[in-house]
Amino acid sequence: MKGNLILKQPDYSGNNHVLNVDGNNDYMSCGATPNLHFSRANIGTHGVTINVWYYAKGGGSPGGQGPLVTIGGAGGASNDYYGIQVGVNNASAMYMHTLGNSTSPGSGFQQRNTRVTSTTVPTSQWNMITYVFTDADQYNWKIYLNGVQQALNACGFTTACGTSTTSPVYYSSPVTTIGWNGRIAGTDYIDSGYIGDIGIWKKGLSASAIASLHSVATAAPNTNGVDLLSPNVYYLQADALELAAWWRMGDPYGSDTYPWINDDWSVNGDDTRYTATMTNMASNDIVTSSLWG
Amino acid sequence: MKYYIVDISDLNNIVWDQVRGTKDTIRYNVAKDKFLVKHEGNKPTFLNSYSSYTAEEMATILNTESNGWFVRSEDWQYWN
Repeated sequence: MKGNLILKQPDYSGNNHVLNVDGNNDYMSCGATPNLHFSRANIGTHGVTINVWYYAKGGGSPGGQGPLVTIGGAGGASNDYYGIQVGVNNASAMYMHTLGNSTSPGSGFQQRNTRVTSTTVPTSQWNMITYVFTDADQYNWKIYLNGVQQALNACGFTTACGTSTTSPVYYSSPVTTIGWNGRIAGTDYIDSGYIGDIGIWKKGLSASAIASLHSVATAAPNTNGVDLLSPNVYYLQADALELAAWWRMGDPYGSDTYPWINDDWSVNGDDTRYTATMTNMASNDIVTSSLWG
Repeated sequence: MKYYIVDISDLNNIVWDQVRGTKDTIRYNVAKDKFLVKHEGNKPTFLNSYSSYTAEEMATILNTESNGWFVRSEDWQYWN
């Protein structure tokens, strides 16, 4: 714990703005985000959690799949694999990666650590997907769907979990993106749908904290969202103090914020924020949602 | 929203404030001889020679590997 009580955001007014992405080339770019470029040692020390609200419209080809958050990716400058990436794969399973080794980006499956769920993400509904890098050992990582821990594929030949043990996170000219993996030939965008709040913590959140975030967000009338800077139920002050980024997708001012999605994280006077720029999108891609995201 | 697949030879004919996105953020195919443009409202004249697609039609084109908009690595099934 780093300090004193966190104050609820002065302008927090519930949370029902989300981004409408077309699945073809819409994404958000945060530029370089050095405070989020966690090394293997960082992850081993404090863990990392990435929480994403995503509503896949489905019905397309394939629908509901793609990268959600890429921390420190190539930003279109390379076809290699960089940084940390979480998303939904071609089989609609959830995946989490740390990529590269100590001196180079990942170019093959040995140069990364990864885990994939054996369950899938439903389309046509809001889902809260939570990726927990508990420590540097991928065998300890966890993935939650709507507050419930998911079974992960066993690590074997056809479901390799990677073997890199030498600082398997590599950042070079890093660009953090939401909804795009930043590769050239292997480029991939998140499929058509809505993206709601995204939070990143310098901590592996507990199962009870994650369940609290989901239950508070989905409690009637379902439009209030969760103030990630304010403890609630089992989401503790010690959790909130480790929040490192929080993109609210247009809240509280809706389309007036276009094309910038503010990073609303600010803890104990540390005000290093990474604004996301809506790319290939328009102001009317900030929409309201009945649940939230 | 309408989508178009445009030849690279027309890159400098695009009036960027009439379409969504910028020259720096457009999506190219792997060969980089085509790129994606999208817009709302009336069709700009510089796109007159191109066919339009809906978002769903465009997604199908882009997500079919043989159409050349992405390449899966040999071990893609391990990565995703």
